[in-house]
This record gives sequence, structure tokens and C-alpha cells, in this order.
Amino acid sequence: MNKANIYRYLRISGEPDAGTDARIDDCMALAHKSIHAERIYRIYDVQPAENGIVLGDTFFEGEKIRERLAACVRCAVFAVTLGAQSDQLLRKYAVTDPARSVIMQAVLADYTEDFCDLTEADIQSSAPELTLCKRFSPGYPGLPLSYQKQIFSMMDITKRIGIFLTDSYFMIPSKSVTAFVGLKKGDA
Amino acid sequence: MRKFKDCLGKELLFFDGAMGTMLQKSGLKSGELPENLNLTAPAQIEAIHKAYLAAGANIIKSNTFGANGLKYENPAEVIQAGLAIARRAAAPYDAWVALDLGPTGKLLKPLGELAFEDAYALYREQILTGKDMADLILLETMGDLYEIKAALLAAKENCDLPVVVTMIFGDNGRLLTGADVQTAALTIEGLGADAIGFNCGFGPEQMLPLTEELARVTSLPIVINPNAGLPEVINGSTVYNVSETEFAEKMAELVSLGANAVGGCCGTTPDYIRAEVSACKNIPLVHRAVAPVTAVTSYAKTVVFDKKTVLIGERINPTGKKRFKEALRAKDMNYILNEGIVQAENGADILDVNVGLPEIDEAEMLLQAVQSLQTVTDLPLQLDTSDTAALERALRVYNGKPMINSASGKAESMRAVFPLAKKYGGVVVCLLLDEDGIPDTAEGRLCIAEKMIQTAAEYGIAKKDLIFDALAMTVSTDSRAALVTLETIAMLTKRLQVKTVLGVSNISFGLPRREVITSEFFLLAMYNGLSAGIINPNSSRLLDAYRAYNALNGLDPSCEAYIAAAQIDTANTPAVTLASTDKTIYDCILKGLKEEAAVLAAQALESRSPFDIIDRDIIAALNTAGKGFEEKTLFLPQLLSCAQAAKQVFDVIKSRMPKTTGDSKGRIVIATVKNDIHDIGKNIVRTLLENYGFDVLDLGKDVAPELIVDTVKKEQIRLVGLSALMTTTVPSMEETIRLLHREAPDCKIMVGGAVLTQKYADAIGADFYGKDAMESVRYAQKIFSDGNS
Repeated sequence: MNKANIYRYLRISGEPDAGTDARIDDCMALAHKSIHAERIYRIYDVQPAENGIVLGDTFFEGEKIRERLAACVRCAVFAVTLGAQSDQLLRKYAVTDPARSVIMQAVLADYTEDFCDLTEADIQSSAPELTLCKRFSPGYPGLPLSYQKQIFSMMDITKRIGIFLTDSYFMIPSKSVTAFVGLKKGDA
Repeated sequence: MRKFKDCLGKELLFFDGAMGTMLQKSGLKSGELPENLNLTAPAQIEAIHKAYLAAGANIIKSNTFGANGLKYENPAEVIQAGLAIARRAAAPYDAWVALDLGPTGKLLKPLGELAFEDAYALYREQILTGKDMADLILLETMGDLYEIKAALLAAKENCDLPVVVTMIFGDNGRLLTGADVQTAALTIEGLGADAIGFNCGFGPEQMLPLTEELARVTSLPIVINPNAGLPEVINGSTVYNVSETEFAEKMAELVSLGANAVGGCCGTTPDYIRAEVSACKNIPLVHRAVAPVTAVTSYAKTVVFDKKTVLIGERINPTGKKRFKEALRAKDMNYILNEGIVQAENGADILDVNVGLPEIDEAEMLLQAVQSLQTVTDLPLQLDTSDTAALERALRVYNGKPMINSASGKAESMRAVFPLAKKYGGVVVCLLLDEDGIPDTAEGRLCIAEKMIQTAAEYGIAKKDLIFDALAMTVSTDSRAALVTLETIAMLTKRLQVKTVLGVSNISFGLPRREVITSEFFLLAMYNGLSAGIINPNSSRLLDAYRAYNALNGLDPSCEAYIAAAQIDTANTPAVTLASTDKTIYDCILKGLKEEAAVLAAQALESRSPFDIIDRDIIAALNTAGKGFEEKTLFLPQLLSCAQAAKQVFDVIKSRMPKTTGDSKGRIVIATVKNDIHDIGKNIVRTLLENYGFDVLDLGKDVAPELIVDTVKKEQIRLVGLSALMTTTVPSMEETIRLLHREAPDCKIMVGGAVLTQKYADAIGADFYGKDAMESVRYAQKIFSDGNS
């Protein structure tokens, strides 16, 4: 985890006061100790289609996704989660210590990003001949949240790593991410 | 035809393999609903059933796994068709048909969006549709203990079919929602399942340790339906890595560990089942002798009543607590949650929950308290009420196997409580008193215990699910009271070999320095065999006695717990007292040092008026912090720390002040809008508003517009704060605003949340957009300072 990121999530510009900094350290240690993170990914051939792309046997409709993967031969789809325990910590602190819950939010957000990076590294090592593009997720401009439903179905995410998708496409646990990572030939 | 239930546990039975795998092989795509094939391609489904029957399966699973009301407009149609096909296939083989039901795919409230009773209704619909065409119900691939409970209740309340529950575990040895094997088994057994086991997720190899553990903790027959190994993805499609022969060999090992029925899940074609049947059919069934264990669980963990005395926290109880009663009247759930969390942190193993107060709706409050507590703690709960209706509602929503406090030896009490304990599977606290009162001898109390054991047995409740309260009477009015209680504990333990519990602190009622008597009495009770003490875990004297006792009695290896507690004590204690000499309350609040601020405030009250402290310290510090936040010299965590410290000081002052009315700056309703389950931002706003002196009615998250409007009208609210996090839920916000403007035109509405902007807020008709929590406070101050508040 990177403290600079955590400061940024907390909108702390410059150095935080000693009390806040100590709490950040505390929360980082606690997160390391109690979080059980899970992830899942799959790599598909990119099959461009009219107004969209096909990954496996799932069709993602939309110009933007086709554009983003235009140069890619394959595309990894992944999901990561920090698990139910992370939400429980946040709920507990929201009751007993709201200041700590805000810090924990930031710490866990950074933890999630780290875990995404780690997953990308795995994807890279399973396709060493290809170059990873920048990851993107449903909800980015032009990429509808409804992709979530398809992603969940194609990898059986709920059953495999315990993320639930609500009717309005929220993920529970809240510290979860799904993303596409394009893989292309040659250098970035 | 023989009945499934008569054969289960007596001979080795064989389930079939994976319908889904077979359908995917013949072209089913991801995202397509397989149950539709019951209508469009019945011959294909029947052929698959027959292939498994020919391979030697004697139980087939209907193709109805996902046929629920969330995925199908008319689930009954596909369920009936699926069962008809299965029956047709099974008839020539004299095989049984399982009504196969999987998870709903939704997470249950309070963490998710599906209400417990709605989950129940989905399963009930499936079960009522299929019950006359099936021989058993198979709840499979279940990953959430709470959903299992909803489904099991639906089965038990709506049909007489035997119910088999098989679960999917993760690499961490737990269900998706946290339960370990023992916790799941105790809960499911308590709810009356007929068999229990695992399916999916793992191959047979990985199921060996899980099955071993299950065989140790359950007396129910065990069912194991693994995948054909672990999944590997090749070219985007999933294959499994264990061959038919390996699969069969491992299945034979599982049978030797105690499995009573075996079959397969993903990847197991008829060839796998054929190999399995041939490898296992001649292995004699293992007859397991499982030692009875008295234990309760939450959704995630088990507490066993064994050698070490279990600590049951008594603080969630309004008796004699003014502040607690106020919280109950104001429906201040956070107060109750905080009491729970603090006790958990101080070492409680179980939390007693008593929220009875004559003027409130106890059943509703107990239900809310139980559900909310289970979102912030994984300790098992002890449901403490004398109201049978409240008890039943709480038992229904409780996630796990609870402790029930209590039944007495009175016939009426046992008649009311025992059937509930049997149905929902709890451990009952048995008070040793009856129609003739409390016997004043140990022998007399023992007689009642014997009577209760016998009566419980008539309801089908085993002795292990009873725990006896030897009753601590006040020693100040009867000098023999303690001796009788201690003798009762010893006799219950040795002679009846049952577990015991005691409300320890009663003993010292009416005496000075109560903790002295209470903790010494607790020691004596433990020495006589006490299994559980209902105590105040926040009392360091009592906890010291407890830890010392464990260390001296070989119950704390290397004195680890004792030493750990001692280190925490030395680390914490001096800070508060030492530092309180040279700082002002104002400084402490500003720095977020809440303990020190509270100590200083208590001292200051001896010389200064409460109002002076509020003005010159609390308000001044809050203003400085608020300004600092706006000028970006101080950040959100500090602002909140400061607000928390201010609250602590305010609580100290309030406890010393004569009751005043109208000291609130105004009442505000806040909520996260319907379909939105994020409440972080809303909670921050609540914390700040409260600490700036407003009364906040927090309606929670995912709140229907109607509830918000009703509350506003009923409570004559002038300001509402709404939060929404994502674009998908802004329409709910808009609808709420429209309804509020129409039904309560005088009420102002402020909105906030990640996706909102001033422009967006204007477009949906909000009166104010707060870009951060502090702005909401400023707006509230403005609203309530304009005109009368």
C-alpha cells in the first residue's frame, strides 16, 4: 500500500497531522491482518462484431468497448474483492469511530487498487508475449454498468469469489472491482 | 417404492452428476437459462437423467436449480415440467427424484437487497409447486448460511419432504458469508435438515478435510457431490482436471470418512458416476458416534460451552439504565450497536440482547437490534425476552444458532418456549423455578432441572441444547443465597452432567462496592463448574478475576491471554490521567482526544457551568475545526475526530445536567435513497449534524420514498438530507424529492453523494446541494436559524 495514495483519497494535501498519520498506520496494519482478498480472471480472444465485441460467448454491445479493444487480440476480464470482512470493519467503525471509518475507507480503496495491480501482473505472466493495456471498468464513460451482469454471468463470480451484484449494479462487498484489460501484440 | 428417508444413513446412496455440464456440452451458452429446456427440449433432459440412472445413480436432481421467481416470470411452469421429466426417467429404475434448488443469487438484507422473508417466499413458491412430485428437496451450492435458513424454513413449514443441504465452501474453509464447517453444521442441524454436506467449488481431494471436519461435528447423514476436480480455463471454456478413475478413488475415501450419499457436480458426466458407483458400492457405511456438544453460533463462528467459562455480555439491557432507555425510546440503534461492539472488544464471547421497555414495540425493536448487531459483530447472541411473540420474530431473523433466554420450569413457560427452540434450533437457558417459586435448596432446584430435561425431550430437544441457570439471589438479604447457588452449580455439573449459566451480578445487589462481591462470587462459581457467566465485560475487576482463574487452572496456555490483557492495560491507562493536566477541553476536542476531553469536562463541571463549557469549548472547537476544514488546513478524519470528542464531552455534560427540553437545534431526517446501499457519506453527515447539536432521524439505506415522506409528515420535519452514490439510483432520489415536494411542501431537501453536482441537484428539484458534509451542517444551521426552530 502507498501512503501517498491514501492521503490523496482522504484529500489531505501536504503532510497530515501526527494523530491522523498514526491512525492510517493502524488501519493499514489491521487491513493486512484481517482482510481475505479473492480474485478471479479469464483471458478471452477478442472477436470484434458489429457495434460491439464478443468475449467467449458473451456479446458486449457498444462502440466504446470496441474502440478500447480495437488494437487488442485478447482481453482479460477480472474481478477482485476484499471480502465481507472489509465491509464489516467499515460498518463497525462507522458506529464506534467515524474518523477511523473514513481512514479505513481510504486504506481499503488503496488495498483494492494494489490487488488489481497484482491481478494484472498475473495476467501478464500468463500471457508474456502480449502487452497489457490500461484496464477499464463498467461505469467508465461509454461503458454501461449493465456490462456487470454479463461479466458476473460469464465467470460465475458470485459463486466463485462471493461478490453479489444488486439490481442497480452495485457490488457487495463494496470493496470489489471488475475490469477489462486488453492485451495486444508488440510494445505499448 | 422405498422411502428415501428410510434408506438415508442406512445404506450408501448415489446422486447423479452435473446436468449443467451435460447441457453445456450440447451447446448451452453462458447466460442462457437451462431450465427453459424443460419446456423446449424435454427429450434432451430426460436422456441426460437416464444416462445417469444407467450409470448407477439412484437419486436424480431435477433440472430446476435456478427456477426461481427472480429469474422466471412463471417458475412453476418450468419446475413442474422439470419434475415430470425426472419422474418419467426415474420410474423404470425405481429411483428417487430430488427437487433441486440453488441459491437465489441475491445477498440477503441487511447486507444485501433481498429481505429474508422475500427469500423465504421464493423458496416457498418453488417448494409448494414441486412437493407432490418429488421424494426429497436438495438445497445445493448454497454459499450463504442466512439463505439456507430461509430455504430450510420454507421447506419445513410447507411440506413433509426430507431436506438435504449441500454447501459450497471457499479456499479459506468458509462459506461466502463467513461460516466455518462447524458453524454451518450446528445451525443447519438445529433447523431440522435431514442431511448435510458439500457440492461444487472443489474436487473430491479438496473435500477430504472438509468432510473429516463435518463428520466430527454433525450427527446427520453426510452427502458429498464434488466437481470433477478444480476448474481450468482453456480458450475461455472450463474443464476439470481429475479423471474418472481418480475421482472414483477419492470418492471411496470420502465414503470411508463417513459420507452416506455421494454423486457429482460440475464436470461429472455419467462415466464419472459409473466409476464412482463401482468403486464405492461395496464399502460399508461408517457409523459415526458424535459426542454431544452444547454450542451456539452466529453466522460466522461457534462458541462451545466447555471447560473454559463463556462470557456473556449483559450490557444490552435497559434495566436501571437511564441513557439506554432514552436510546430505546428514540430508536437510537447506534447506541445499542456501540454497547455491543465495546463488549466484544473487551472480551465477551456472546452478547445478551434485551430491549424490553413497556412503552415500545419490543418485538420490532428486538428484531431490528438483532439484525443490526449481526452486521457489526460476529459474536453469537442471546435473545433475552419474556415476550414469546418477540422471541419468535427474533429467532426467525437470527443468522445462526442462538441462545434463548429463557424458559422456566413453569408448564406455561415450557409450552411457549420449547416448541420455538425446537423449530429454530437454539440453546435454551432454563431458569430453575416453577409454579411454587424458587426452591431454597440445591436439591429442590435440581428437581426442576430434571423435570425440564424430561419435558424438553418430549419436544425433541436434547439435553445438550439446554443450559441451566442456578439462579443467583442477593446475598445481602439471605446469607445462605450464594452457598445454595454454588451447590446447585456443582450438582448440575456432576450429577446431571449439564451446562450451567448464572446472572452473576445479582448476588451483590444492595451492597456497597458491588464489584468486589460479584467478582469473588464469579470465581467461586467457576470453581464449582460454571459453564457461562452473564456479566459486565467492561468491568476490569471481573475480567481480571476471570483471566487469573483461567491462568491458574490450566485454561490459558503460557498465560497468553492474561499477559496480553495486562499489556493493553499498561499501554492505555496512564495516557488519560497524565495528559489531562496541561490541556484545555477546547484543545482536546480540537485534537480529537476524546477520553482526555471527557475527563477534563468532568473535572471542569465542578467549577464551571455546563453552558459555559458548551459555548467556550465545544462550540468554539467545532467552529475552529469547521473553518479549518473549509480552508483545507484540516481534513475530514480530523474533523470527524473532533466531532466525536465534542460528542463525548457533550455526553458528560448531559449526564450532569437537569433534563432540559428543546435543547436540540432542530430535527433532520436523513436517508440513502431506495436501491442504493452505500451509506458512508450519509453516516459522515449524520455524525457531523449530531455533533453540531441537531437531532438526526437516520432512516438508513435503501429507503423507500414513502417511508421518508411518512416520517417527515408524522414527525413534522423541516429538513431532509438524501444521499445517492451512483447514476443508477439518482432516479430514486428524484422520485423521493417529487413526492416530498407534493406531500410536504414546507420541508427543505438537501442532497449529496458522489455522482451529484449542483446542476444535477437543480435538475431533480433539490433545495440545496452539499458538496461535502460540512456544507450540509452550514445549510442546516441556516434553515433552523431562519425564523423559529
